Amino acid sequence: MEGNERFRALLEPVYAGALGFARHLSRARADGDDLFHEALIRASAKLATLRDDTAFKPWLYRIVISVHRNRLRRAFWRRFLPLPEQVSSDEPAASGNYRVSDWSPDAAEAARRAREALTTLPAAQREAIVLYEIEGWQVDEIALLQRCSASAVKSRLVRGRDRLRAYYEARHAAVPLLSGETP
Amino acid sequence: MIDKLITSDFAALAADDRHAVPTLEALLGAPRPSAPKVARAKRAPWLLPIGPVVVVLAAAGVLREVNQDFVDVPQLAVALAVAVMALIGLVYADFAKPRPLANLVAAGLFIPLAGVGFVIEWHHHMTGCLFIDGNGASIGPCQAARIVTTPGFALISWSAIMVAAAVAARLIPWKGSSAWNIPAQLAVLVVLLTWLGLNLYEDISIEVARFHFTHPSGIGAERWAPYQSRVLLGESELVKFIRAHSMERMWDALVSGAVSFALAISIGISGIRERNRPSRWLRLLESPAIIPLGITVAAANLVLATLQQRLFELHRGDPDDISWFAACGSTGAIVAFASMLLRRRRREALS
Repeated sequence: MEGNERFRALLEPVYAGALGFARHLSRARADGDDLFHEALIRASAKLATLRDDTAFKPWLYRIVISVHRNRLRRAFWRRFLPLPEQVSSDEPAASGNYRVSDWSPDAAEAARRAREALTTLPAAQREAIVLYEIEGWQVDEIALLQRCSASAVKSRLVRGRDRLRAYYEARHAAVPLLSGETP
Repeated sequence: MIDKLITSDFAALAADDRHAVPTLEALLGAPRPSAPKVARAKRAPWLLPIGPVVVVLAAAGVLREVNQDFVDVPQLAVALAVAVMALIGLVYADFAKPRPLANLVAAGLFIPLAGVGFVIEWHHHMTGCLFIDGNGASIGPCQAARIVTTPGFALISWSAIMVAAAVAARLIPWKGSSAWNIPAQLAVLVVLLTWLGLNLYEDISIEVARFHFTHPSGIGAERWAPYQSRVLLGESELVKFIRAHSMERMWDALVSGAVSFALAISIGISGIRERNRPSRWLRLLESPAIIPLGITVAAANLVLATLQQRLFELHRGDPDDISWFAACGSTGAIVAFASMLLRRRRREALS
């Protein structure tokens, strides 16, 4: 029970961000939730190996990355399946167990576009792009998470951006920005 | 324009993925981590590593009893057993636990033994006699008949060294180098298969001699009578002819062994370099398609070798291709086995 309380206390401030990170990495939100659950189970089982509680957040993110790569290898054929057309129609937003923030159908289409583009990146580049561009992590922190050098992270970011740019230019060059944005 | 669109879409993605975040109570309520497994007391821990050895020996022995082809080409029997082990390993992850030190000890003992054994066998081959009698012909030492055949000696020494290495690994408190664990494990199997393949020359010698002895082609006309024993010295034309045939078979086995050995070395080097960056070569070998592919190659070559043997028995085919099929089959089995070991190591590293 003491371990459960410790795990809950450590997880409370970081779980929303880590869940968002898992969802960003996945092809669909449901896949991201599965990934995060698997990472939580692994983190809970290995909590005794965590020596410094202040390092819980990068430790948890590291586990999410590890599970993500494991799932990619395990389900190689899944990358050839089409993306779900509309993942937001059956969201459990009305449930009392969920917090609902601002969200609109236009933004859902933009999010789907971004998710589709991210799935074209290799795993390492996708993780670096998500952590840097969306989650706001620093290059040195990403290098520690990905267990590589800072220059390798920079290289992944540059290559990932180039691939994203090429993907968008090929498919979405004529798409207007969301309302409120100007080109 | 494109950069702003990407930035805008990323912002939308961030908002979209955070718009329905479950509460911590709902999140932790659904899945519960399983209770940690209670470690069982190990009564004879050195017995487990012997399992694969027993499987290969039993499979090779049964196959040799069932089918004459495996008597002539023992390399095929072992390759088939290894392929089946890879298939079992694909289905059942914990088929065998890694034993870094045991593999290194086994490789250190078995490779020199196989080298010395082959040199002795080669000396016998070049200086031996051809024995012809009513049942056929065989090449061997001129002085005395051998009790244990070379394939039998190879399998017995391999199993003995594997058992000794497993026991030694339990007694020596050292974990060993994990990077060379799989290459050492592969190298032992590759050397065993190559050793058996190199000795195919003896089998083909017997087959060719039997063919020319019973066939009225003239080469075997030196015989005195159909059931009268005759010994030809190594310098005779028939023996030289047989040795020339055996060279091609030995070459096939050597090429197959070199390719498989290079595979093992490349896995070791990639394993060391993988500490700094991921290896695409290892990722390729870990692909789920590799094991079925290797098993298919091994099985297909087994069928082809069997068909070739049947044709030769009908005096309609050339047995020289059998060694090629055996070499291809053993290479496929080794690749499948390597993939199984790499996938198992990956699973253990991630668990």
